[in-house]
Amino acid sequence: MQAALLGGSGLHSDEKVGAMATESSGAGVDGPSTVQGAPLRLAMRGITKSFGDVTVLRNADLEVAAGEIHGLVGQNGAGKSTLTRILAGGYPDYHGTVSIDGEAAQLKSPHDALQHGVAVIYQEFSLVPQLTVAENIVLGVEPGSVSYRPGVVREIAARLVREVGIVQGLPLDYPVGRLSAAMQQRVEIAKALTRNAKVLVLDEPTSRLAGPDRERLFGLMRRIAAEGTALIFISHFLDEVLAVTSRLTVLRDGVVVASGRTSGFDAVSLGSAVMGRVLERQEAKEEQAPSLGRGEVALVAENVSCGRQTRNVSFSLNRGEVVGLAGLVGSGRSTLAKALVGAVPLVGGRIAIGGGYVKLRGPRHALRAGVALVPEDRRAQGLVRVRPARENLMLMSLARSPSRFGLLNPKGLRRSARKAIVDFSVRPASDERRAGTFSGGNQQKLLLARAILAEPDVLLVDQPTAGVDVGTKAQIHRILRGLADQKKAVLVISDDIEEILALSDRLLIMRNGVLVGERRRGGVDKDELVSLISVGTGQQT
Amino acid sequence: MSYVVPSAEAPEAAPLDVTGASEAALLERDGGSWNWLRRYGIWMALAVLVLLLSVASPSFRTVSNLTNVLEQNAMLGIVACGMLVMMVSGGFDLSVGAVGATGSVVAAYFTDHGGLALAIVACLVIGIVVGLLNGLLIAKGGINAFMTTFAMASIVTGILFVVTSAAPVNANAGWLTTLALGEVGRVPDAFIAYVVIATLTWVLMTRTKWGHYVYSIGGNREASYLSGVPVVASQVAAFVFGGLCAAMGGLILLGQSNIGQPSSATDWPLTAIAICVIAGVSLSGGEGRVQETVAATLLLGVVADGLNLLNVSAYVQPAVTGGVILIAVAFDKMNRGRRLT
Repeated sequence: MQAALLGGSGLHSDEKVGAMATESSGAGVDGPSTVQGAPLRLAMRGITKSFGDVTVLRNADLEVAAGEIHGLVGQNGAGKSTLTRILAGGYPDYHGTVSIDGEAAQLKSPHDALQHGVAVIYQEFSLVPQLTVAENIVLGVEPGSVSYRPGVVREIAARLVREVGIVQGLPLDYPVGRLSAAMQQRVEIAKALTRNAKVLVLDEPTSRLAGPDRERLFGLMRRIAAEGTALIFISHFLDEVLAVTSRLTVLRDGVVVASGRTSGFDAVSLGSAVMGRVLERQEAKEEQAPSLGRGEVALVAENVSCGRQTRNVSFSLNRGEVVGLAGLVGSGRSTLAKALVGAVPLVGGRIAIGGGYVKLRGPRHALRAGVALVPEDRRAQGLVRVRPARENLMLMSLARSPSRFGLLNPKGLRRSARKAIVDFSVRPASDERRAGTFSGGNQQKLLLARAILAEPDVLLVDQPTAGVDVGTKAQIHRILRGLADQKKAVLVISDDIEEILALSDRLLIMRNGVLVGERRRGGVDKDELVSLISVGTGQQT
Repeated sequence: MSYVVPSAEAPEAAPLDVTGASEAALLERDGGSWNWLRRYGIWMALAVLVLLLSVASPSFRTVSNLTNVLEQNAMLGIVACGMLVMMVSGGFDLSVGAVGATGSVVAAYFTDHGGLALAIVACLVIGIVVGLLNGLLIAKGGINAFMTTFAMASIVTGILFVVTSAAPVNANAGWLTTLALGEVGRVPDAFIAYVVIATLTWVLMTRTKWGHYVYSIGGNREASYLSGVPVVASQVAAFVFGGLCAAMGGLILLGQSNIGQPSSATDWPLTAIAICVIAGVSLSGGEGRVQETVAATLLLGVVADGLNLLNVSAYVQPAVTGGVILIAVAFDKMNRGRRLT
């Protein structure tokens, strides 16, 4: 099945995965009201949700049976969180139908969702830090009409926690804000379970947990499922999804691209379904034009550690080379990139730039040393959305070379901005428009142009083509390759396996905060890379 | 029979901790000593200040001066109770002064045209209406509290000045004068009214679901919404309560002077916010208690009175108030521990 899935050419991968999904879900076992015998708890059909003219979910279906742990996987921006929030009643203006236990459910508010037995454990904990554990557990379902009795609330919380019987030992009287992340998550779980959930969604529950805590959580999930609750498990860690779930649904760009029994997937086929964007013709051309060869060393990281997220990472970047950093979300790759510009403090190790060790005080210092980062999240970390494109473009260059006498030269700035907009063919070609009004692809070009205008020797690019159309993607690839040809060192982080394979002269592979491998161009194929980043059949260092 | 609940003092005594890890390890930063300081620090500062002033100034320690301090600060104390609730909900209100002035002028008019009862009701209705508008614009409309209440203050004051031609309105305040200036024994009536309203605020904030929701909304609006808390209604109610408190302040203001003065009460919003900030009410919401707000009200009152008795120029007082605010805020920040910016 794997060979059939990945080997052929000409077919679009979506169709291939779709075909596989139909096979693996079994011949006619999925009736309208049951999934493999168990009664259907949740059925979401034809779910569509748009923000303005951007459609983030298109005609998505999700069915979960009682007692089932259902995996929901996809990359950032694939629509998992949107689907979750619709289920939680957070987006009343969705299209499509939701039924719970066969009854149509109108999810117009979180209150509706709770009434229908939907509970969600959010990635960003939905707890009020100032309230105590007991108050958080009972929040929104306090007894009585007017009066609030702290003692009663505490008793209820204690009773609920005891009844649930799974999450014991919560310090009920402590403000949640003073608990550790692992403890806060237990509070979240306790809160969700005490709402008599028929459908329980766990959105990235393992992202903040260490190994043993994860195992405990999985045991907990199995016990909850065994009591007839329908569980939806969202995770970026594909090996976890494969280990824990019985069925799964894969979202990509807001569309369900695969669904079926988990046993019908392995790490590689699931990885392909999640990540596989096909740009074969374009990428093939790029592969034939490798870089002009290695230049001198531009940046060296020695045993760089920044907490649990990134540990003892060592590598070097050479001028004239595009290096790909592959890994799943949460593998520590973005933290590493931030550490290289001083945005995240180093716990251990050191960094050398252009031959000398430097202790980076922050991104401004890094820019002056010649290292620029294009951050992963355009919206939150990238552009100043309400300011014109022109000002955004000059933001980094200003840090690099303060203008004369501390005064800005508006004409000179405009000239450089206009030139950049022409060079990078930003559309619409206006330097006055607010940065936030450009399309995603053009915003990405602005971000890249901003970093390049600062004339760095080392450019770190996190997710350069996330949510970008195919044409712009190819253009961005050409820009990055062009930079390497100009003897810059380029580090690319991407979720897109094919992109990173096609673009990189050398690949660094990260998993769980550790560098687990390094491969030269052609030294690794897609299947091997997918398994290296997701489960690690490769040797561990 | 009773279930042994793991208590905060001995969390490791929890029965059957299947999740394993010791609770002590999971609890970061123990805030015990800090909580104590936060609760009683401001009362201690007040006590020390009263002690020092009593030694330094014989006229300060007279009963008549002390009752005077209580009487003088009752009005702003009541306004600050409303401000506290609005700030805990995550907002604040710059229109309390406009409501106080307008309420007192309207009440002054009605004391001569319909009687005292009508005057009181009219004044409170103004507070409710302005609070309701503020609350709806902020909680439902999603407009920033600063802009909303700043604009509302300008509109209300503007209308007031047009209608009155900026001229004071004479009143026949009657019972309101007794309320503002009378005494029971040696205790000023106004202070009794303040204690009643502060107690009511305390009950509302700690013993009703609404009060609990006000805290939860200010602490994490999104989490509260997703937990099924009526976010909009609760915050609108917070602003209505704030408007009501401002209107009650306006009634006492009228009682003090027996004149409805359109240009009065302009210092209320910032003073009330200052009181709350000194009391440790978070500007971003979710935190703050009535008890400390009372202490902060008295603290600022005693500072003003002390400066006055020590013959310090009245012009210095704002600077001293500013200093007190900065010290209180810096102290608060220091004790909470710094976070990465």
